[in-house]
Amino acid sequence: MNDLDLDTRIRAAAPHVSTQIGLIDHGTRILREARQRRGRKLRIWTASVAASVALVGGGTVAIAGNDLQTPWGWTADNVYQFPGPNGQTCFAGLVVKPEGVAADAEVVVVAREIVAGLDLDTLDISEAVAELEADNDQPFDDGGPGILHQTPQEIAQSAVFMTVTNLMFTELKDRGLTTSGDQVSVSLFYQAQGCQ
Amino acid sequence: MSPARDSDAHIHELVRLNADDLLRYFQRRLLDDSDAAEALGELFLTAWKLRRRVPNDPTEGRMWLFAAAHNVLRGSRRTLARRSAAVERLVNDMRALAPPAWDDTAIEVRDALNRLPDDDAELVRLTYWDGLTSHEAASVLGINPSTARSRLSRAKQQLRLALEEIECTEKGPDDVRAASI
Repeated sequence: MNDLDLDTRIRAAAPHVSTQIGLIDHGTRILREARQRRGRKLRIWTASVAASVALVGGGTVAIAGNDLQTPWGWTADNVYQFPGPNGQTCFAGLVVKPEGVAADAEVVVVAREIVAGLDLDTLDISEAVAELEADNDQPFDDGGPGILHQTPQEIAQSAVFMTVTNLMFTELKDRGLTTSGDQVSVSLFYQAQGCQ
Repeated sequence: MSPARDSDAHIHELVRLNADDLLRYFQRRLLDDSDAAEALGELFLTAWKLRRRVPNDPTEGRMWLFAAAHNVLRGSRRTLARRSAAVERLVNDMRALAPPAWDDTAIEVRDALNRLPDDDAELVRLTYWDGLTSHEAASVLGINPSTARSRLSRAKQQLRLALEEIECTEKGPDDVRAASI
């Protein structure tokens, strides 16, 4: 068999395929969805994480006073705790804060009601966990060097926060209380201890 | 235009220019079209996620996409695609298409290809099925061009021997003897 025959046979062995399905539209749709998903996440995280403080530290947290009083001296709108690493208790407090609006503005009051009304012990965080696990041990989204690694405790902790944030903004939107675009009127402040 | 908008537009343009070739790439290597569609969706979403790493040059960007496609094939996870409604729509549309035609007369070549080391077989497929130059195929596989050329030559020789052996077997022992006289 000469070279030409061999080349012809290899080329002819390629499966004949069809791509007549408007692939460019599909590609555009997939990328647009990815961009919107990112935009949504960015809005949520810009609104909340920018104001959040994640304390890295061990030890069991003593919770003073009523259930919503945090060890950091402020009263939370909601709190949650679960077993952390090394026998610690992971405790986190969440509080709604106004952003450029009065503290008693309707959007703030309603956001507080939403957050306070959630049962964080039974909250379904599976979707957020799946999203965080999918991103775990992957390159950073912004193309930065290294990989993103989160422990299971960090994932669980972040998943609660993401889910609450998502629920709060979704509910506010459903009630017509958010403005369009990137502008936000409330943020969700979050502080945790014993989770890492 | 900001760098972020720049990279967004660049990915859109790369996808527009290469989508058909990339889908064919997956179709030629996977058993069914819906699997190929899901792999393509995973590739697009991976490209979007890593868009700032994609080379600006259109040819290098195209090779980056093929290299990413190669990685998608090697990985079994399709975590991004399985959470995307837009990918699901593509998968459903692909299911409605006629399946790829597998020509039985070419089965010996595909079998012989499958017996080659994975990277050698992929080098042959990239060159002969996807129409990449040996230089481009080398870039996709992360090897240098001269290595690619020597591996391609070796792989072709192995294919030639495998196909000639099949032909001899089909002709039967008498024909083989006759051929050796």
